[in-house]
Amino acid sequence: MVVLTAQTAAVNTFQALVMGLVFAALGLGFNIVYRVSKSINLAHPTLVLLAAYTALVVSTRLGAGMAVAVAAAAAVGAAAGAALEVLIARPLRGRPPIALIAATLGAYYVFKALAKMIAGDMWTTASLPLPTFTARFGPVVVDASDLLALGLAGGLVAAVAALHRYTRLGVAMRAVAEDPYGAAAYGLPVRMLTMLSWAIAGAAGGVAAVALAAKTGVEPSLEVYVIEALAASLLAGLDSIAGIVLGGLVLGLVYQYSNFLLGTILPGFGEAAAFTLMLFVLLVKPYGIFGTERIERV
Amino acid sequence: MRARTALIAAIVVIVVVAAAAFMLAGRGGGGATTATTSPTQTSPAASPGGGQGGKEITLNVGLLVDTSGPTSGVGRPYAMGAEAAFKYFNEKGVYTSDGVRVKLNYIKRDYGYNPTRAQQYYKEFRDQYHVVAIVGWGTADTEQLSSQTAKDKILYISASYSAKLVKQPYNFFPAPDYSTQACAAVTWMAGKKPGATLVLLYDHTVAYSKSPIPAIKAIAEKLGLKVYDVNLPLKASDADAENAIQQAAQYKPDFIWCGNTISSCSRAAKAMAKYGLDAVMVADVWGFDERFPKLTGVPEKIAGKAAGVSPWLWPEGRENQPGYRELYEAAKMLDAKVDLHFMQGFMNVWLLVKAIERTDSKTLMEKKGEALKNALESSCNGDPIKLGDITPEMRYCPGNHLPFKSSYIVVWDGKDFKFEGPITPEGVDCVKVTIEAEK
Amino acid sequence: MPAGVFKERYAELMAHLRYPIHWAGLALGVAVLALLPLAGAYSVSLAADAAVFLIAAIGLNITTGLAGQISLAQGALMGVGAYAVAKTVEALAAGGHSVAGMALLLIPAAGLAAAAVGLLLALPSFRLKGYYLAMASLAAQVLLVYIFKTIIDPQQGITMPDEAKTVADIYFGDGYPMYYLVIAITAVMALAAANIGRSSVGRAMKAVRDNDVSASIVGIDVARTKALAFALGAFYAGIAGALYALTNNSVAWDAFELATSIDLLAMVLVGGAGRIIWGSLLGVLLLRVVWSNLDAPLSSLGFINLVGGVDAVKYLVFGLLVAYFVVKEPEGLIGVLRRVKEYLRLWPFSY
Repeated sequence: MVVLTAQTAAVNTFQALVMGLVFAALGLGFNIVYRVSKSINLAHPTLVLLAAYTALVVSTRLGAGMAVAVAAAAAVGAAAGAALEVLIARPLRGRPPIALIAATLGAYYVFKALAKMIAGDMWTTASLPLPTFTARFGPVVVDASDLLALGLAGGLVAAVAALHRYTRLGVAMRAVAEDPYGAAAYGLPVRMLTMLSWAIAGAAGGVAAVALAAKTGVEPSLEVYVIEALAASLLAGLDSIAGIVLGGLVLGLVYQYSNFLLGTILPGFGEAAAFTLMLFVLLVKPYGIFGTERIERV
Repeated sequence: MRARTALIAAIVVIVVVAAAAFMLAGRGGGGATTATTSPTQTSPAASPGGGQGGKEITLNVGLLVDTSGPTSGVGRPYAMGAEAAFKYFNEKGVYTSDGVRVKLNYIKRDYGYNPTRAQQYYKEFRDQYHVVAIVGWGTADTEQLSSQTAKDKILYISASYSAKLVKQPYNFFPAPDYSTQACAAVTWMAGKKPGATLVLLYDHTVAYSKSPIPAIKAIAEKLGLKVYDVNLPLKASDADAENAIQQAAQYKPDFIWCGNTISSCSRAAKAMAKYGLDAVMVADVWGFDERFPKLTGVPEKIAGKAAGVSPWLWPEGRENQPGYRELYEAAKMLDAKVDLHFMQGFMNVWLLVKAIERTDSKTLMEKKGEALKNALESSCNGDPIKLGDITPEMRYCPGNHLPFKSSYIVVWDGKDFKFEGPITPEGVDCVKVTIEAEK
Repeated sequence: MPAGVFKERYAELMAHLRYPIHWAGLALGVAVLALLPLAGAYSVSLAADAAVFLIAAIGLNITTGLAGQISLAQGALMGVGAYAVAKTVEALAAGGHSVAGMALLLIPAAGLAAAAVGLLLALPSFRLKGYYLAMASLAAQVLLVYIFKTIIDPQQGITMPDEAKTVADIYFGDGYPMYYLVIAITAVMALAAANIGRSSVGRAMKAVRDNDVSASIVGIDVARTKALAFALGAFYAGIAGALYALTNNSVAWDAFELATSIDLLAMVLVGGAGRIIWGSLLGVLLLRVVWSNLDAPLSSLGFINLVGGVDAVKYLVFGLLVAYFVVKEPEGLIGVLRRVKEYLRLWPFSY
């Protein structure tokens, strides 16, 4: 029987923190899109996959450094996000949400195909080329992949939250999210800002992809983690930005500890736990902890 | 009418016509490979052709591989090896025991490691191409099809060495089953350190990972090893692997068995190095190959601590040994790189060729798959089968298709792979334990 | 001669076969289906497979197309049906009971079992709608597969004995008997679904789909209607699953994963959401029959050498198709055909 000691608790909590931040970073893309378009972007999981393979190809085949790889992943993500807005979300404005869900489902396959094409014969499990350094803090061992994941995921969430809160652009984007007609009346370029939001969501997906790949390697089933990250988004409330950190951490802890303590009795429960959490949130508090409730009128 | 509507309407018509055509013609796919060589509609399975003087038989063989799915990393070299073998043996000439030349016409399908798609392609192989044999791939799909192939009398040579298949009448493979291989690994561990502690890392939800566990536990008990279970997902992230290694470390293991595939096992080895867990990991045949040290990212740190089971000596550096020579010649024809999985694909086709060579043309034409099965089973009391120096003498007996029992342990020493053995597990019938545990 | 077809009674107007062309189509359809086995054994396998997925797609079309409740769990519900049959047979056989013909006898029970699970899935729909509901069904899909994986089918594959598929010495697991049985069941299920769409329940579902708040104001019990939509869709999925178990050598959870649910949803959306029979049929023909048989022709045309291989090309086209239809042709393929029909009816005049 596995027991929890101070030592293992420290290690697991650290890993939960890293994975939690990665989940938060992955979920961020859902929330940014939801704020402006009031729907879930089901293409986000494979957008992340596409960005991850871009980073892999840039860093291994082209031999560029990790910074270049992150930039390339973010650029591909931003382009994909902007394309989704222009080609799918914009024409579907005003149609029921099922239409946008279904159309992004189509885009899900398109991105998957593009990822496969970029990957070529690297379409299998591969690791990002990272330095092999480790540092010990008591029982906790930190290596390059932990640092990269922490830095990218934490930095990303902080940067996006700061952008929304403190910059003029962020204020304008919030205005569009709150009330597009009002924003338009004040002369804000609503279309442009909506597209920019989707592009930022895509870029966030790209950066998060590298953070995830640092911890999981790059593999064709990477998108599953992004679907799990939806639980973090829902927990926080889909229209909250900063709350997602809490959602991600809860998911990371649930995931890590259910695998550690129950792994042998209920194998693979970590993944199931993520979806149980999601179902629970949907049934009990559908609009999340920080989300705003919607009021419907006919 | 707008142009767009007309265009889509045309597409609809094409789709309906195509669907009707697929169904009516029953052509699951008129691949170019078959159209030229095999008059499948008129004569099932074997058609005497040739003409002047020399008789020739064309046999359809299914090749079911994963070149796009989750196991494509090892599936691609396997498929390449099989294709190279078909090309090589066709060119060299395959003859039945009475001297009739047999041409092998293979139909390749990529099922993406999806057993449901495997069942569909199986129907296509059987009903459309009337194949006499199939060279297949994974555990789940091969096991799910095994009762059907027995019913349809189609020889099935798989890359899955699952113990269940040993008792199936039409399933063959040129290796000991997973359980016997794992038992060899445990025997090796017990020889290194009597009374050692062994932690089993495997995915508790995947049939392939779970199947050798009861046999491992049985032989470990017999050899006086302490055994503990830890779940490691087949699709493991570094976080999952570190989690599993944290659990494993609590038992203070001397040895770790990794029963997953290479991506999962290499992550576990990496986590072992990261947390300084001082144990030797032995991975199963799909969990350890030439790429393992590099995949962990820390090849020097895992020196002497990472090992794998292999029923055969790996091909690297053996270009001049019998068996391996043919392998390298075949690889040259496709300009392919030879590695363990390429060799596995090559060997499976070679086993099929051996079956053809041990039967005569008349029996082959009449009994097809059954003739091939009987030919392989004639090794039980007759001449054993040997694939050059790659395998020892193999004997397949009716009801027991375990050709030999010995395996090597391949240890990574930091620079090279060292082979220890061959080791034959004694005292426990690992196949029997596995099959009884699954009932 | 009257310039058109004029009906004199309501019954005539409501009949499924209203015009001479309907009768002609029916005769042609029956003839093709009856004679299909002449084309060979593989045609039969293909047609039976298409029929199984047609039933599941029709069910999803009731839930999603008719009642507007998006569901990403149809694949797992098929699994419920398939396992209801396979596990019961396995348990009976283990208990030493006779299982003769059980794989056929249990088909209705499989539908009911799936419908019961479908009712559970309807629970979130009372509070949630749109994307939130889609997420709930996604979670349910994953959890159901997890249960299949760990509890119901840990060995990844249950094979039923042949006698379970045999009635009166006829083996229904393969070949022509299987084909005719599956086609007959499919026809019955399709006819029933067509009638649901025209009943008061069906109209209530459409009202809920178009606007559930307005529907409740005009006195429709929204919760009951949604629950019924889920249960009916799940019932169809259960029947499809049971037929899957009958026509395939073994049942394993990998056939009912999220990808299957997504495929089914795509079939409904591309074929035509809300057009229960013909929309589903077109979707299945395109995305199941043609699609799953494209590998060989594409490979022989040289697509296998393209970057990413045949799979990538297929994903790309598939994704573009779905997105295109949702954005530009929300009524699906069937909507396009209707426009063509209107055009031909008036031809050569433009209106």
